[in-house]
Amino acid sequence: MFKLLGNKRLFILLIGLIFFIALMGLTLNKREPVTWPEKFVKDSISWMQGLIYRPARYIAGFFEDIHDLRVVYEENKALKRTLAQYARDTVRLNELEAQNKRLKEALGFTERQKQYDNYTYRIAEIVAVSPDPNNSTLVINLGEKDGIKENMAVVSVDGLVGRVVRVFPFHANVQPLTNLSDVSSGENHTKAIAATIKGKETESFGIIESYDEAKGILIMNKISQNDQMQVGDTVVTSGLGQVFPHGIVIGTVASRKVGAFGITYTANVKPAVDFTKLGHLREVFVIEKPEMR
Amino acid sequence: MHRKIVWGVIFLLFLLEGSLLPWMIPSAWRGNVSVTPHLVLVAIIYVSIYLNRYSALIFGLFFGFLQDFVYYGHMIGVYAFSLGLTGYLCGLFFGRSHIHILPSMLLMAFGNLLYEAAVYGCYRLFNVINSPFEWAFTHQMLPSILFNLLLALLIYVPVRKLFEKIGNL
Repeated sequence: MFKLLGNKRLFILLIGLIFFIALMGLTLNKREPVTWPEKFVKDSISWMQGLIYRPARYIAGFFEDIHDLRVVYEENKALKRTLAQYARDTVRLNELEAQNKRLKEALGFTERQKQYDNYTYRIAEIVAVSPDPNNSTLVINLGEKDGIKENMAVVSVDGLVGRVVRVFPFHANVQPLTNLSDVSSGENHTKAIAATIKGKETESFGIIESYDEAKGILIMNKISQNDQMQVGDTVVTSGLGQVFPHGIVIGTVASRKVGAFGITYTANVKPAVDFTKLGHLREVFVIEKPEMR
Repeated sequence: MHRKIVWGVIFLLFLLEGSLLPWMIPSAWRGNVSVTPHLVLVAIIYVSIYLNRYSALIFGLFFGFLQDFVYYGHMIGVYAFSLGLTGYLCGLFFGRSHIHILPSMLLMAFGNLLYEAAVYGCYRLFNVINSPFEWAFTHQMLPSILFNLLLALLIYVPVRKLFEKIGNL
Protein backbone atom coordinates (compact mmCIF):
# COMPACT_ATOMS: atom_id res chain seq x y z
CA MET A 1 0.00 0.00 0.00
CA PHE A 2 2.81 2.41 0.73
CA LYS A 3 4.02 2.02 -2.78
CA LEU A 4 1.53 4.85 -3.26
CA LEU A 5 4.24 7.24 -2.18
CA GLY A 6 6.50 6.35 -5.07
CA ASN A 7 7.94 9.43 -6.74
CA LYS A 8 5.71 9.51 -9.78
CA ARG A 9 2.49 8.90 -7.92
CA LEU A 10 3.27 11.45 -5.27
CA PHE A 11 3.96 13.92 -8.01
CA ILE A 12 0.66 13.21 -9.75
CA LEU A 13 -1.19 13.40 -6.42
CA LEU A 14 0.31 16.78 -5.61
CA ILE A 15 -0.44 18.12 -9.09
CA GLY A 16 -4.02 16.92 -8.67
CA LEU A 17 -4.31 18.61 -5.30
CA ILE A 18 -2.96 21.89 -6.63
CA PHE A 19 -5.23 21.69 -9.65
CA PHE A 20 -8.34 21.17 -7.57
CA ILE A 21 -7.54 23.84 -5.03
CA ALA A 22 -6.87 26.31 -7.84
CA LEU A 23 -10.11 25.30 -9.55
CA MET A 24 -12.16 25.72 -6.38
CA GLY A 25 -10.56 29.05 -5.61
CA LEU A 26 -11.12 30.37 -9.13
CA THR A 27 -14.74 29.30 -9.34
CA LEU A 28 -15.67 30.41 -5.82
CA ASN A 29 -16.96 33.81 -6.91
CA LYS A 30 -17.67 33.06 -10.50
CA ARG A 31 -19.52 35.85 -12.24
CA GLU A 32 -18.69 35.24 -15.86
CA PRO A 33 -21.45 34.05 -18.18
CA VAL A 34 -22.28 30.38 -18.36
CA THR A 35 -20.29 28.59 -21.04
CA TRP A 36 -22.03 26.50 -23.67
CA PRO A 37 -20.82 23.04 -22.53
CA GLU A 38 -22.06 23.86 -19.06
CA LYS A 39 -25.40 24.95 -20.50
CA PHE A 40 -25.72 21.81 -22.57
CA VAL A 41 -24.75 19.38 -19.80
CA LYS A 42 -26.87 21.14 -17.22
CA ASP A 43 -30.00 21.45 -19.31
CA SER A 44 -29.97 17.91 -20.63
CA ILE A 45 -29.37 16.40 -17.20
CA SER A 46 -31.91 18.59 -15.46
CA TRP A 47 -34.42 17.67 -18.15
CA MET A 48 -33.89 13.99 -17.40
CA GLN A 49 -34.13 14.64 -13.69
CA GLY A 50 -37.41 16.43 -14.26
CA LEU A 51 -38.74 13.33 -15.99
CA ILE A 52 -38.08 11.33 -12.82
CA TYR A 53 -38.97 14.00 -10.31
CA ARG A 54 -42.46 14.63 -11.63
CA PRO A 55 -43.94 11.10 -11.26
CA ALA A 56 -42.13 10.72 -7.93
CA ARG A 57 -43.76 13.91 -6.75
CA TYR A 58 -47.21 12.81 -7.84
CA ILE A 59 -46.92 9.50 -6.06
CA ALA A 60 -45.58 11.10 -2.90
CA GLY A 61 -48.29 13.75 -3.19
CA PHE A 62 -50.98 11.08 -3.35
CA PHE A 63 -49.91 9.61 -0.02
CA GLU A 64 -49.69 13.04 1.52
CA ASP A 65 -53.22 13.75 0.31
CA ILE A 66 -54.53 10.65 2.05
CA HIS A 67 -52.87 11.87 5.19
CA ASP A 68 -54.43 15.29 4.71
CA LEU A 69 -58.00 13.94 4.39
CA ARG A 70 -58.33 13.85 8.14
CA VAL A 71 -57.64 17.53 8.60
CA VAL A 72 -59.67 18.72 5.61
CA TYR A 73 -62.89 19.28 7.60
CA GLU A 74 -61.23 21.49 10.20
CA GLU A 75 -59.31 23.31 7.54
CA ASN A 76 -62.47 23.98 5.57
CA LYS A 77 -64.15 25.60 8.56
CA ALA A 78 -61.15 27.82 9.19
CA LEU A 79 -60.93 28.77 5.53
CA LYS A 80 -64.62 29.77 5.40
CA ARG A 81 -64.04 32.04 8.34
CA THR A 82 -61.05 33.68 6.70
CA LEU A 83 -62.96 34.02 3.43
CA ALA A 84 -65.51 36.30 5.05
CA GLN A 85 -62.70 38.40 6.42
CA TYR A 86 -61.04 38.38 3.01
CA ALA A 87 -64.16 39.70 1.27
CA ARG A 88 -64.29 42.62 3.69
CA ASP A 89 -60.60 43.29 3.20
CA THR A 90 -60.90 43.25 -0.60
CA VAL A 91 -63.48 46.02 -0.57
CA ARG A 92 -61.22 48.11 1.61
CA LEU A 93 -58.16 47.25 -0.50
CA ASN A 94 -59.87 48.30 -3.72
CA GLU A 95 -60.86 51.57 -2.16
CA LEU A 96 -57.34 52.23 -0.91
CA GLU A 97 -55.78 51.20 -4.19
CA ALA A 98 -57.97 53.61 -6.13
CA GLN A 99 -57.13 56.35 -3.68
CA ASN A 100 -53.43 55.52 -3.87
CA LYS A 101 -53.50 55.69 -7.65
CA ARG A 102 -55.32 59.01 -7.64
CA LEU A 103 -52.86 60.50 -5.15
CA LYS A 104 -49.85 59.25 -7.09
CA GLU A 105 -51.22 60.88 -10.21
CA ALA A 106 -51.90 64.07 -8.34
CA LEU A 107 -48.34 64.12 -7.04
CA GLY A 108 -46.88 63.53 -10.48
CA PHE A 109 -45.24 60.10 -10.00
CA THR A 110 -43.32 58.95 -13.04
CA GLU A 111 -44.29 55.74 -14.79
CA ARG A 112 -41.19 54.03 -13.38
CA GLN A 113 -42.11 54.96 -9.84
CA LYS A 114 -45.68 53.75 -10.32
CA GLN A 115 -44.57 50.41 -11.68
CA TYR A 116 -42.00 49.97 -8.92
CA ASP A 117 -43.80 47.33 -6.89
CA ASN A 118 -45.81 45.76 -9.66
CA TYR A 119 -44.17 42.35 -9.32
CA THR A 120 -45.06 39.32 -11.37
CA TYR A 121 -44.92 35.87 -9.79
CA ARG A 122 -43.75 33.14 -12.15
CA ILE A 123 -44.49 29.59 -11.05
CA ALA A 124 -41.64 27.11 -11.41
CA GLU A 125 -41.42 23.42 -10.66
CA ILE A 126 -38.48 22.02 -8.80
CA VAL A 127 -36.74 19.36 -10.87
CA ALA A 128 -33.89 18.38 -8.57
CA VAL A 129 -32.49 19.03 -5.13
CA SER A 130 -28.78 18.83 -4.36
CA PRO A 131 -28.05 15.75 -2.27
CA ASP A 132 -25.48 17.57 -0.13
CA PRO A 133 -26.56 19.59 2.93
CA ASN A 134 -23.54 21.89 2.60
CA ASN A 135 -24.68 23.01 -0.82
CA SER A 136 -28.45 22.68 -0.93
CA THR A 137 -29.02 24.07 -4.41
CA LEU A 138 -32.49 23.71 -5.91
CA VAL A 139 -32.93 23.35 -9.66
CA ILE A 140 -36.08 24.92 -11.12
CA ASN A 141 -37.48 24.53 -14.62
CA LEU A 142 -37.48 28.17 -15.63
CA GLY A 143 -34.44 29.67 -17.30
CA GLU A 144 -32.95 32.37 -19.44
CA LYS A 145 -35.46 31.73 -22.22
CA ASP A 146 -38.29 32.49 -19.78
CA GLY A 147 -36.73 35.77 -18.75
CA ILE A 148 -35.19 34.59 -15.50
CA LYS A 149 -32.14 36.55 -14.39
CA GLU A 150 -29.62 36.18 -11.62
CA ASN A 151 -30.56 37.49 -8.17
CA MET A 152 -34.30 37.20 -8.66
CA ALA A 153 -36.04 36.33 -5.42
CA VAL A 154 -37.63 32.90 -5.09
CA VAL A 155 -40.54 32.36 -2.73
CA SER A 156 -42.86 29.52 -1.82
CA VAL A 157 -46.41 29.87 -0.49
CA ASP A 158 -44.95 30.17 3.03
CA GLY A 159 -42.30 32.79 2.43
CA LEU A 160 -38.87 33.58 1.06
CA VAL A 161 -36.89 30.56 -0.14
CA GLY A 162 -33.78 32.11 -1.66
CA ARG A 163 -32.48 33.69 -4.82
CA VAL A 164 -31.48 32.62 -8.30
CA VAL A 165 -27.70 32.25 -8.51
CA ARG A 166 -27.05 30.79 -11.92
CA VAL A 167 -29.22 30.79 -15.02
CA PHE A 168 -29.13 28.26 -17.84
CA PRO A 169 -31.31 28.36 -20.97
CA PHE A 170 -34.11 26.22 -19.56
CA HIS A 171 -33.22 25.80 -15.91
CA ALA A 172 -31.90 27.88 -13.05
CA ASN A 173 -30.12 27.15 -9.79
CA VAL A 174 -31.62 28.58 -6.62
CA GLN A 175 -29.56 29.19 -3.51
CA PRO A 176 -31.75 28.74 -0.43
CA LEU A 177 -31.45 30.99 2.62
CA THR A 178 -29.77 28.14 4.49
CA ASN A 179 -26.61 28.92 2.53
CA LEU A 180 -26.47 32.50 3.80
CA SER A 181 -23.15 33.15 5.43
CA ASP A 182 -21.43 36.25 6.72
CA VAL A 183 -17.91 34.84 6.83
CA SER A 184 -17.33 33.95 3.22
CA SER A 185 -15.82 36.54 0.98
CA GLY A 186 -17.02 37.34 -2.48
CA GLU A 187 -19.69 39.49 -4.00
CA ASN A 188 -21.79 36.79 -5.56
CA HIS A 189 -21.57 34.18 -2.90
CA THR A 190 -24.38 35.18 -0.61
CA LYS A 191 -26.32 38.39 -0.34
CA ALA A 192 -27.56 39.73 2.98
CA ILE A 193 -31.24 40.63 3.17
CA ALA A 194 -32.49 43.98 4.37
CA ALA A 195 -35.43 43.15 6.62
CA THR A 196 -38.09 44.93 8.60
CA ILE A 197 -41.14 44.07 10.69
CA LYS A 198 -44.57 43.74 9.15
CA GLY A 199 -46.70 46.64 10.33
CA LYS A 200 -43.68 48.62 11.60
CA GLU A 201 -41.95 49.11 8.26
CA THR A 202 -40.80 52.63 9.02
CA GLU A 203 -39.53 51.97 12.55
CA SER A 204 -37.78 48.61 12.39
CA PHE A 205 -34.76 47.58 10.39
CA GLY A 206 -32.21 44.81 10.47
CA ILE A 207 -29.98 42.85 8.16
CA ILE A 208 -30.22 39.09 7.85
CA GLU A 209 -26.72 37.91 7.16
CA SER A 210 -26.33 34.33 8.20
CA TYR A 211 -28.04 31.07 8.97
CA ASP A 212 -27.30 29.00 12.05
CA GLU A 213 -27.40 25.44 10.83
CA ALA A 214 -27.33 23.87 14.28
CA LYS A 215 -30.36 25.81 15.53
CA GLY A 216 -32.15 26.20 12.20
CA ILE A 217 -32.58 29.96 12.56
CA LEU A 218 -31.66 33.03 10.57
CA ILE A 219 -29.65 35.71 12.36
CA MET A 220 -30.69 39.33 11.97
CA ASN A 221 -28.03 41.89 12.83
CA LYS A 222 -27.64 45.66 13.07
CA ILE A 223 -30.94 46.33 14.80
CA SER A 224 -30.91 49.75 16.45
CA GLN A 225 -31.27 49.99 20.22
CA ASN A 226 -34.60 51.78 20.25
CA ASP A 227 -36.15 49.40 17.78
CA GLN A 228 -39.59 48.23 18.90
CA MET A 229 -39.55 44.73 17.45
CA GLN A 230 -40.93 42.01 19.70
CA VAL A 231 -40.76 38.26 19.86
CA GLY A 232 -43.43 36.81 17.57
CA ASP A 233 -43.40 39.70 15.09
CA THR A 234 -43.37 38.79 11.41
CA VAL A 235 -40.14 39.65 9.61
CA VAL A 236 -40.51 40.74 5.99
CA THR A 237 -38.03 41.97 3.40
CA SER A 238 -37.76 45.74 3.29
CA GLY A 239 -36.67 46.10 -0.31
CA LEU A 240 -33.95 48.56 0.66
CA GLY A 241 -31.25 46.13 -0.41
CA GLN A 242 -32.50 46.35 -4.01
CA VAL A 243 -32.01 42.61 -4.52
CA PHE A 244 -35.09 41.24 -2.83
CA PRO A 245 -38.44 42.97 -3.44
CA HIS A 246 -40.20 44.36 -0.40
CA GLY A 247 -42.91 42.71 1.66
CA ILE A 248 -41.95 39.04 1.37
CA VAL A 249 -42.38 37.07 4.58
CA ILE A 250 -39.09 35.71 5.91
CA GLY A 251 -40.10 34.40 9.32
CA THR A 252 -40.93 35.35 12.88
CA VAL A 253 -38.73 36.85 15.58
CA ALA A 254 -37.80 34.07 18.00
CA SER A 255 -35.58 35.96 20.40
CA ARG A 256 -33.65 39.19 20.65
CA LYS A 257 -30.44 40.06 22.46
CA VAL A 258 -27.59 42.57 22.56
CA GLY A 259 -25.18 42.05 19.69
CA ALA A 260 -21.46 41.27 19.73
CA PHE A 261 -20.24 44.83 20.32
CA GLY A 262 -23.08 45.96 22.57
CA ILE A 263 -24.06 48.76 20.21
CA THR A 264 -26.71 47.07 18.15
CA TYR A 265 -29.15 44.25 18.76
CA THR A 266 -29.27 40.82 17.20
CA ALA A 267 -32.46 38.83 16.69
CA ASN A 268 -33.01 35.19 15.89
CA VAL A 269 -35.55 34.71 13.14
CA LYS A 270 -37.36 31.44 12.71
CA PRO A 271 -37.80 31.00 8.94
CA ALA A 272 -41.35 30.73 7.60
CA VAL A 273 -40.28 28.08 5.08
CA ASP A 274 -39.36 24.75 6.62
CA PHE A 275 -35.89 24.30 5.16
CA THR A 276 -35.55 20.81 6.55
CA LYS A 277 -38.29 19.76 4.14
CA LEU A 278 -36.73 21.43 1.14
CA GLY A 279 -36.78 18.15 -0.74
CA HIS A 280 -40.55 17.99 -0.35
CA LEU A 281 -41.21 21.36 -1.91
CA ARG A 282 -43.15 21.13 -5.17
CA GLU A 283 -43.40 24.54 -6.71
CA VAL A 284 -41.80 27.86 -6.03
CA PHE A 285 -42.46 31.31 -7.43
CA VAL A 286 -39.83 33.48 -9.01
CA ILE A 287 -40.53 37.17 -8.50
CA GLU A 288 -39.94 39.24 -11.56
CA LYS A 289 -39.47 42.93 -10.95
CA PRO A 290 -40.79 45.33 -13.58
CA GLU A 291 -38.11 46.45 -16.02
CA MET A 292 -36.35 49.48 -14.55
CA ARG A 293 -35.43 51.79 -17.37
CA MET B 1 -18.61 -3.04 -23.99
CA HIS B 2 -19.27 -4.16 -20.42
CA ARG B 3 -17.87 -0.90 -19.08
CA LYS B 4 -20.73 0.86 -20.82
CA ILE B 5 -23.22 -0.92 -18.58
CA VAL B 6 -21.42 0.42 -15.51
CA TRP B 7 -21.42 3.94 -16.95
CA GLY B 8 -25.13 3.66 -17.66
CA VAL B 9 -25.98 2.31 -14.23
CA ILE B 10 -24.03 4.98 -12.37
CA PHE B 11 -25.52 7.68 -14.57
CA LEU B 12 -29.00 6.41 -13.71
CA LEU B 13 -28.10 6.42 -10.02
CA PHE B 14 -26.87 9.99 -10.41
CA LEU B 15 -30.22 11.04 -11.85
CA LEU B 16 -32.14 9.22 -9.12
CA GLU B 17 -30.01 10.74 -6.36
CA GLY B 18 -31.22 14.28 -6.94
CA SER B 19 -34.75 13.63 -8.13
CA LEU B 20 -36.30 10.48 -6.65
CA LEU B 21 -34.40 10.02 -3.40
CA PRO B 22 -35.50 13.30 -1.80
CA TRP B 23 -39.07 11.98 -1.94
CA MET B 24 -38.21 8.57 -0.54
CA ILE B 25 -36.61 9.91 2.62
CA PRO B 26 -39.22 10.60 5.30
CA SER B 27 -39.27 14.28 6.15
CA ALA B 28 -38.94 13.40 9.84
CA TRP B 29 -35.38 12.33 9.11
CA ARG B 30 -34.48 15.77 7.89
CA GLY B 31 -35.46 17.67 11.00
CA ASN B 32 -32.75 17.59 13.59
CA VAL B 33 -30.23 15.56 11.68
CA SER B 34 -29.91 15.47 7.92
CA VAL B 35 -29.70 12.19 6.09
CA THR B 36 -28.35 12.48 2.58
CA PRO B 37 -28.22 9.63 0.08
CA HIS B 38 -25.00 9.25 -1.93
CA LEU B 39 -25.89 6.58 -4.46
CA VAL B 40 -23.07 7.54 -6.81
CA LEU B 41 -20.52 7.32 -4.01
CA VAL B 42 -21.77 3.87 -3.05
CA ALA B 43 -21.52 2.74 -6.67
CA ILE B 44 -18.01 4.15 -7.03
CA ILE B 45 -16.82 2.34 -3.92
CA TYR B 46 -18.24 -0.85 -5.40
CA VAL B 47 -16.31 -0.11 -8.59
CA SER B 48 -13.14 0.31 -6.54
CA ILE B 49 -13.78 -3.04 -4.88
CA TYR B 50 -14.77 -5.10 -7.92
CA LEU B 51 -12.93 -3.41 -10.77
CA ASN B 52 -9.84 -1.40 -9.86
CA ARG B 53 -8.75 1.88 -8.38
CA TYR B 54 -8.05 3.56 -11.71
CA SER B 55 -11.59 2.97 -12.95
CA ALA B 56 -12.90 4.21 -9.63
CA LEU B 57 -10.79 7.34 -9.99
CA ILE B 58 -12.08 8.01 -13.50
CA PHE B 59 -15.70 7.37 -12.50
CA GLY B 60 -15.26 9.54 -9.42
CA LEU B 61 -13.81 12.45 -11.36
CA PHE B 62 -16.45 12.26 -14.09
CA PHE B 63 -19.51 12.01 -11.86
CA GLY B 64 -18.00 14.44 -9.38
CA PHE B 65 -17.67 17.06 -12.09
CA LEU B 66 -21.20 16.29 -13.24
CA GLN B 67 -22.48 16.94 -9.72
CA ASP B 68 -20.39 20.10 -9.53
CA PHE B 69 -21.95 21.45 -12.71
CA VAL B 70 -25.52 20.39 -12.13
CA TYR B 71 -25.77 21.66 -8.55
CA TYR B 72 -23.40 24.58 -8.95
CA GLY B 73 -23.86 26.73 -5.91
CA HIS B 74 -20.55 27.70 -4.37
CA MET B 75 -17.67 26.41 -6.44
CA ILE B 76 -16.63 23.75 -8.93
CA GLY B 77 -14.33 20.87 -8.05
CA VAL B 78 -15.37 19.88 -4.53
CA TYR B 79 -17.27 16.74 -5.47
CA ALA B 80 -14.89 15.77 -8.25
CA PHE B 81 -11.99 15.97 -5.81
CA SER B 82 -13.78 14.12 -3.00
CA LEU B 83 -15.26 11.38 -5.18
CA GLY B 84 -12.04 10.81 -7.11
CA LEU B 85 -9.94 10.68 -3.96
CA THR B 86 -12.38 8.34 -2.22
CA GLY B 87 -12.57 6.01 -5.20
CA TYR B 88 -8.80 5.84 -5.55
CA LEU B 89 -8.03 5.34 -1.87
CA CYS B 90 -10.74 2.69 -1.44
CA GLY B 91 -9.28 0.84 -4.40
CA LEU B 92 -5.92 0.56 -2.62
CA PHE B 93 -7.28 -1.76 0.07
CA PHE B 94 -8.24 -4.92 -1.74
CA GLY B 95 -6.69 -6.50 -4.76
CA ARG B 96 -8.92 -8.29 -7.20
CA SER B 97 -9.37 -11.09 -4.70
CA HIS B 98 -12.73 -12.45 -3.69
CA ILE B 99 -14.20 -10.18 -1.06
CA HIS B 100 -16.87 -11.01 1.45
CA ILE B 101 -19.69 -8.81 2.56
CA LEU B 102 -18.28 -7.70 5.91
CA PRO B 103 -14.96 -6.26 4.67
CA SER B 104 -16.71 -4.54 1.80
CA MET B 105 -19.20 -2.93 4.18
CA LEU B 106 -16.35 -1.78 6.41
CA LEU B 107 -14.67 -0.27 3.39
CA MET B 108 -17.99 1.32 2.44
CA ALA B 109 -18.20 2.99 5.85
CA PHE B 110 -14.61 4.17 5.57
CA GLY B 111 -15.19 5.53 2.07
CA ASN B 112 -18.31 7.40 3.15
CA LEU B 113 -16.50 8.95 6.08
CA LEU B 114 -13.61 9.96 3.86
CA TYR B 115 -15.96 11.52 1.32
CA GLU B 116 -17.96 13.45 3.91
CA ALA B 117 -14.77 14.64 5.57
CA ALA B 118 -13.27 15.72 2.22
CA VAL B 119 -16.39 17.69 1.24
CA TYR B 120 -16.58 19.28 4.68
CA GLY B 121 -12.85 20.08 4.55
CA CYS B 122 -13.08 21.76 1.14
CA TYR B 123 -16.04 23.92 2.12
CA ARG B 124 -14.49 24.78 5.46
CA LEU B 125 -11.19 25.67 3.81
CA PHE B 126 -12.89 28.23 1.60
CA ASN B 127 -15.07 29.53 4.42
CA VAL B 128 -18.29 28.52 2.72
CA ILE B 129 -19.58 26.80 5.84
CA ASN B 130 -18.59 27.52 9.40
CA SER B 131 -20.35 24.89 11.47
CA PRO B 132 -17.98 23.10 13.88
CA PHE B 133 -16.72 19.67 12.89
CA GLU B 134 -18.21 17.92 15.94
CA TRP B 135 -21.66 19.21 15.08
CA ALA B 136 -21.32 18.37 11.39
CA PHE B 137 -20.05 14.92 12.30
CA THR B 138 -22.91 13.98 14.60
CA HIS B 139 -25.70 15.71 12.69
CA GLN B 140 -24.74 15.29 9.06
CA MET B 141 -21.98 12.76 8.50
CA LEU B 142 -22.87 9.95 10.88
CA PRO B 143 -26.57 9.68 9.91
CA SER B 144 -25.62 9.84 6.23
CA ILE B 145 -22.96 7.16 6.60
CA LEU B 146 -25.41 4.81 8.32
CA PHE B 147 -28.08 5.47 5.74
CA ASN B 148 -25.67 4.92 2.86
CA LEU B 149 -24.52 1.66 4.41
CA LEU B 150 -28.13 0.57 4.34
CA LEU B 151 -28.41 1.59 0.69
CA ALA B 152 -25.18 -0.25 -0.09
CA LEU B 153 -26.52 -3.40 1.58
CA LEU B 154 -29.73 -3.10 -0.43
CA ILE B 155 -27.93 -3.05 -3.75
CA TYR B 156 -25.13 -5.45 -2.71
CA VAL B 157 -26.51 -8.57 -4.38
CA PRO B 158 -27.46 -7.03 -7.76
CA VAL B 159 -24.17 -5.12 -7.90
CA ARG B 160 -22.18 -8.25 -7.16
CA LYS B 161 -24.08 -10.20 -9.81
CA LEU B 162 -23.44 -7.40 -12.32
CA PHE B 163 -19.71 -7.31 -11.65
CA GLU B 164 -19.41 -11.09 -11.68
CA LYS B 165 -21.08 -11.09 -15.07
CA ILE B 166 -18.67 -8.44 -16.28
CA GLY B 167 -15.75 -10.46 -14.93
CA ASN B 168 -16.86 -13.53 -16.88
CA LEU B 169 -17.38 -11.69 -20.13
